Amino acid sequence: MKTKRRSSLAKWPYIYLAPFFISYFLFFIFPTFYSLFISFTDWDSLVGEAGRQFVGFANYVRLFTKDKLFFKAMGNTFLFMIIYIPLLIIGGLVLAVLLYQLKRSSRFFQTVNILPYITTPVAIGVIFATLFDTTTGIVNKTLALIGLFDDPVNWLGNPATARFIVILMIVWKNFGYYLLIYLAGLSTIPEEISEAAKVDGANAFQVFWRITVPYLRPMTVFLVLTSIISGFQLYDEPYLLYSSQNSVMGGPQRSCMTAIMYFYDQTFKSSTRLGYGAAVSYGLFVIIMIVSMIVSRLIDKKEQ
Amino acid sequence: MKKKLIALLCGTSMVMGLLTGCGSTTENAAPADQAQTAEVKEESTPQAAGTDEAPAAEGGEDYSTPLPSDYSGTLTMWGWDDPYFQAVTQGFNELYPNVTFEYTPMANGDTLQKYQTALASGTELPDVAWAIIDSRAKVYELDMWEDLSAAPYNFDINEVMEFTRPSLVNSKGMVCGIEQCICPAGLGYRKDLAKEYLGTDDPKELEAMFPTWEAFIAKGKEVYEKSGGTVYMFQGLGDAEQFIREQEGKSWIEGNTIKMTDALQRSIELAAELRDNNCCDQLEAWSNAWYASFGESNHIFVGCATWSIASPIAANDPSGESEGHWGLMNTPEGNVSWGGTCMGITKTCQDKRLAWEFVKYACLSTEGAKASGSIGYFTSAIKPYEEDPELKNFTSPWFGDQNLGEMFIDEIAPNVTRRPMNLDDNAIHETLSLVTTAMTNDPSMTAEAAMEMLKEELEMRLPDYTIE
Repeated sequence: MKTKRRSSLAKWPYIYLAPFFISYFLFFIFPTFYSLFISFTDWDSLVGEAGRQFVGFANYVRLFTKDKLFFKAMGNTFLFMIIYIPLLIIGGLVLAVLLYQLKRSSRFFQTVNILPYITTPVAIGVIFATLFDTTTGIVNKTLALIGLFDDPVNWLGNPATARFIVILMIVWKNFGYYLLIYLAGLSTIPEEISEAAKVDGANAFQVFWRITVPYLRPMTVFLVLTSIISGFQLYDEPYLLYSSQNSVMGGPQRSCMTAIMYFYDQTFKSSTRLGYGAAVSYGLFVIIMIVSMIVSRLIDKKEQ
Repeated sequence: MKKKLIALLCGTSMVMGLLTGCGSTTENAAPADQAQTAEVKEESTPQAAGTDEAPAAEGGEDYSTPLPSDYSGTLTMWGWDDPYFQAVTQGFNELYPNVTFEYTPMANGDTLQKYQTALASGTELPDVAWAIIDSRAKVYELDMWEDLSAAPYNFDINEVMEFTRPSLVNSKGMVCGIEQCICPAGLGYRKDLAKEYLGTDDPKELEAMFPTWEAFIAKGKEVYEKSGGTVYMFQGLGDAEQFIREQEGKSWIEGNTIKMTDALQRSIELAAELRDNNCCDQLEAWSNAWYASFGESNHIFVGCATWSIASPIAANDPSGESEGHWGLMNTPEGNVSWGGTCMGITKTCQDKRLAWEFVKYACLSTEGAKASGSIGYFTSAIKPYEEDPELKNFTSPWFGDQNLGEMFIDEIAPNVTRRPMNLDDNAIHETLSLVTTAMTNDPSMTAEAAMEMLKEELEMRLPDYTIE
């Protein structure tokens, strides 16, 4: 009797879990494998789905042997990450420690720092494009007013300054997030340890370096890995900075074109090759996987 | 048992709720659409009953007779020119008051992306689709267009001006659309600045002064020096370069070869000369500063197509209305066709009969030409302007009493050539913008270096082509 009842109940967990698994399959598993499949075809919107042919690894061969713009986009992405990730990690950590020690108004400063993070990216793109406009931008007006430059700087028209502005946008926007994670981490450090160190004669820097930083290591590892993954997906900031009608995709000399921008451009914007676009996304996936593995290996090795 | 039933109901409702979300929009929308159609039919039935001429059924293949005036229906459109949409739909509604339009604003740069995404995902396309010249070659290859030259439309391409004809046809020979309006472009100029720095504001005298770009450049240098470095001939290098390269009228691509030297070298060389002689300011076209410059007195010449009068000129020069700041003249070495949007009918259109009636009205009829003329646009159809020459008359307070319509239709349009369209023109166009921006930012960049950069960028952007 009991066994029968148990077997009749056995199906209910599956029924209750079905909505999740069905949606997971429809919106994650299926698109993932379907895009892998179409990356082996020459599917072009101009020809239509019916006319697509299986081309084996031809898209991948073109991507890795012929497509210089893909490598330029990858190079730009790496460059941005190499600069902004350390800035965010170090800046977020130092500011979190300073704010944590602040007895008054710490909530106010936390709120001020988190505001850019919750601002919509479109607004940020417009704000920065307006701020750094050569002729009407407030930055050039201010620099001229204080006599730093006579001629206006073409911030958005020069590859080096354009990259600088993209990095500034990313740092400004994400600073609050890094700060919050580190503040959460700081609250887990037992105060007795720092106090004992101070009694033993350690100065503020030694407490920071020998106690705070090691204790926050899990947060740092988390932030580094998630920053690398999100860094490869960088799109909003550079795209919005150059989203006006006549702007070139990726800015001056394509100095701000990132890998995802390139994927979008190849698939939907200037080209219609869905098959090749899928190959670009899988090429990017392979690179992200390799870099993430190397970084996590390095971190593991250091921990051992 | 009761518990089992409740659990079963809960589970079913969760799964159904999830699957409901997966239903296609078309299916969800269908009952609403049917209800709307039924409502419209109900309203129109008494009127329709009184008419002798009933519309031919879609299978009847006769689209030549006009629809009854009480015909009702709805047409959807995605577009980027609100004033044009308002003008032609209001005019159409005077003939067919029961027809409604659903208009979705779309950036013209997104045309290809929106249409191909809708096709790939199977979502609805608009009934009447627009196609801008920049991406038209690719958009016309999408499997979404009715062939307007075939039955039941039977559109005769000879009804429209000759220079527009090649850009209405795709590679399969299908006529996919008709131009909303012609876009011949000459040079607009600030009369006050022309008088002060060139000694005259008369268009004919100015044309005589600038028979070639070389003469234009020599004068531009003088203007810059005379004004103490504050007045330029053009707002930016990109404005000038775009004009010059379109004058060539040569195809950028032939087969698998990009004809870089043949089609683009002269425009790059002249752009370098214009820059070196201070003929061009540093404004990037379509930027905020560029728009604002129309209301300032720092640039004498601007490219001026039919659409330029309303925007950007009138929209950004408020004082120009009372002072008649502007004039229009022929360009040194020839005028160009600048821009252009076609309207065609999609295969998925529910009421192709009505859609064709609208396209015919807007692009080919005399009434449509009047509606377009109200905002300073001129259709590509030949007949309306032969039937009613008054339609050519168009003046704008910004241009004083100069008859712009006559100038565009009789002087500029007959002599412009349109560059043949190619699938990857938009990528080349974008790369040219990149190069002219680099030339503006680096005054030491020579024409040779700019050509070298163009070659490298094109090789990177379009690696499957040979660059010649």
